[in-house]
Amino acid sequence: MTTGHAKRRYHLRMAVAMAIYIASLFVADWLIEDRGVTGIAAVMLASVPGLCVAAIFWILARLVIEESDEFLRLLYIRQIIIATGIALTGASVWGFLELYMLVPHIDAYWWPVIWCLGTGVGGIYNKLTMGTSGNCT
Amino acid sequence: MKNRLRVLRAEREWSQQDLADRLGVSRQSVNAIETGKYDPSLPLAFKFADVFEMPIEEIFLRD
Repeated sequence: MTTGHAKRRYHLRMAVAMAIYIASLFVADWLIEDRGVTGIAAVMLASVPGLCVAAIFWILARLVIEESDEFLRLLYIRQIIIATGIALTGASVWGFLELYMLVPHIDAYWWPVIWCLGTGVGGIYNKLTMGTSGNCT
Repeated sequence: MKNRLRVLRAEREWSQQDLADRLGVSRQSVNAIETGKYDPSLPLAFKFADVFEMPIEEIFLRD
């Protein structure tokens, strides 16, 4: 298995997940907000976008597993660790600030978005320290 | 860990990409190893030895 194959699969999986994510957002909004779907059907519809975001983590895990180049694997893992640190630190600190009414409420689905931005920070860190970004996003 | 990759490549007139292709890794990997930013695993070090047809300790040197 070559480096290129793992990356191509990564891009394909990510494109499929993002396409389903965008479609599910529109469908959930239309059926729940406009058509008044409720109950278990609404729960299932509202869960799909979140599950698509969860798929990003699975896709990245597959990239790390399938990448045959050990140096690139290291770069991806460093990006993931940095992104996780940023997102979980942000969620923890913001959560307590929210608890004491010092900051406005942020919907929980923003934290995975922060995590994805964190992989960009991880890429910059890789570039500065290892000479190449790794670029798993 | 120090290494003689730059010299060994120059002797063979190989670019980093040439060496990367022979090893089955990315050019970034060869560059990171050559510049001492990343130490290869033992299996990859053996691949270097196979490609250069010389013992590992003549390619990679103790600090």
